[in-house]
Amino acid sequence: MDLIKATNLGIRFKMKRKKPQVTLSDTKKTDRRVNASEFWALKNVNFTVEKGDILGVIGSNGSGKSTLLRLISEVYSPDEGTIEINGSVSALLSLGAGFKSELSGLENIYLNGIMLGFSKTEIDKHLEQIIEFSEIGEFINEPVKVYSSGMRSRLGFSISAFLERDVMLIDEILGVGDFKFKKKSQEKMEEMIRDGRTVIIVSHSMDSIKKYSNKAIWIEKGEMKASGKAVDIVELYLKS
Amino acid sequence: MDEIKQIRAVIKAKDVLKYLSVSELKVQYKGKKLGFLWAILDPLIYLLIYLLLVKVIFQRGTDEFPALLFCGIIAHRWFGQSISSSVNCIVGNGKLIQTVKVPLLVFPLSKVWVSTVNFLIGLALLFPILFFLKINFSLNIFWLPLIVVLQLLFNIVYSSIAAFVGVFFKDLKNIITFSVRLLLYLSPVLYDVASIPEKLYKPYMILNPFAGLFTSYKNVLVHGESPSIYLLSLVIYVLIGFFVMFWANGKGNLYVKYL
Repeated sequence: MDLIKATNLGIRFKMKRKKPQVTLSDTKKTDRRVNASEFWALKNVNFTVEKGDILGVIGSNGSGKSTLLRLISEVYSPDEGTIEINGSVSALLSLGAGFKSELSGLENIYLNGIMLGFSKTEIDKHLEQIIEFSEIGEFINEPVKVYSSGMRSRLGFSISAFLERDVMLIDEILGVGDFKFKKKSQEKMEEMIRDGRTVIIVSHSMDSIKKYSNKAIWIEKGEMKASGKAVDIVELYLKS
Repeated sequence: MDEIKQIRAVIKAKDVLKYLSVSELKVQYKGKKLGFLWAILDPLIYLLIYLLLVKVIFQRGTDEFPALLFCGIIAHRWFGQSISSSVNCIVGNGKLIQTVKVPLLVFPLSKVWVSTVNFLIGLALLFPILFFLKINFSLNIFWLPLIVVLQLLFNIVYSSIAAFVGVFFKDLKNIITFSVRLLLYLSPVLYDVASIPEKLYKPYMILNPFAGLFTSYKNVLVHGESPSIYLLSLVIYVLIGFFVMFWANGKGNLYVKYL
């Protein structure tokens, strides 16, 4: 059985085109003609993810890759087609979305873990690993507001990396922290892949897609250009 | 039924609600020298300010007045804090909401819980005040839980609606700030409903859900009487609010898309 199956998947957004307000007097103008227009952020996307698959999602900026991840994590529901999800999906809280800056790193681990759908006992079990991997050290009891942005993302990465779900979503995460941590997080990802975990990676680095993924899809302006073996898709993408 | 599904989703996310509320409470008092003491000081300072205004400057009010005033203050503050902290809570957590699937109702609910804790602390403070003013309790005090639950439902429903509307209508935050203040003067907090002109009495009691509510608090806690019959008006407001809240929550996907 497929873990994830997207059929003819599509989502649209309404855009309100207001006249640009450049000067202060523009904001006072009563003539505010609004043209609501529809915009398909994704259309006709088809793919399947089986257990153990590493699916790479490639495409240029603004092509709808992050929107796709949000559909997979069921944050958005599709306007067209279906997406079947048979299992649990973990989103990577990139850069520590949802951290409360007044609270300590430790308190945020629990808050974030619970948000991701884990129980307190599950978090307890992995707590030491998370703190150790994030290299936060004794700062773990300090409020997150004193953390550097690198520390925040390292903590965010560690929380989602150690709390396991059937499917892991990774968005542009290959560049977390400094050189040393980058290497470490890549090793952790490789470990996940070796463990046979199912991963969906969105990345601009064709090397890492080629290296890790077995499957890939290429999205351009919300439409699926190609899907198939990762090596072939990367080849096609680079030629375009 | 869609409503039952919505309630189930919130119950499933009860741990999220718990942790969110606790962190919210921690954030509120962390880093302050007086810390949790503010939960006690805050309503007492309001009490002193209004006592100064009414008793000293206007030379009004009976012996029981401080207790009656305090009932009104804590009940008004409970609603005011709930709704004004909720109006921005979905927008404020936008980044998180677009990353993980969490029922949206959890966010206003956590805000309401936090203000409920503050209210319960205020309620606990009322009893020493009643004792100090030598006010006798009657059996009518057993009405209190019912009145508190009714207001809790009212707060939940209208704070959630504010949170949803706040996503699209950014001006709501400003409107609510002024409305909460206006409500203080339109409701029997600083005065008694007996001072309302006879001609206006009925429409006032029916249209203002807080008229019956605040009067009921005063009745059961201070006067030793049964709740006001106009508490029923609040019940109707709650019922209408529930329908609107479930309808708005049912369109959840729409908010997430445009955060």
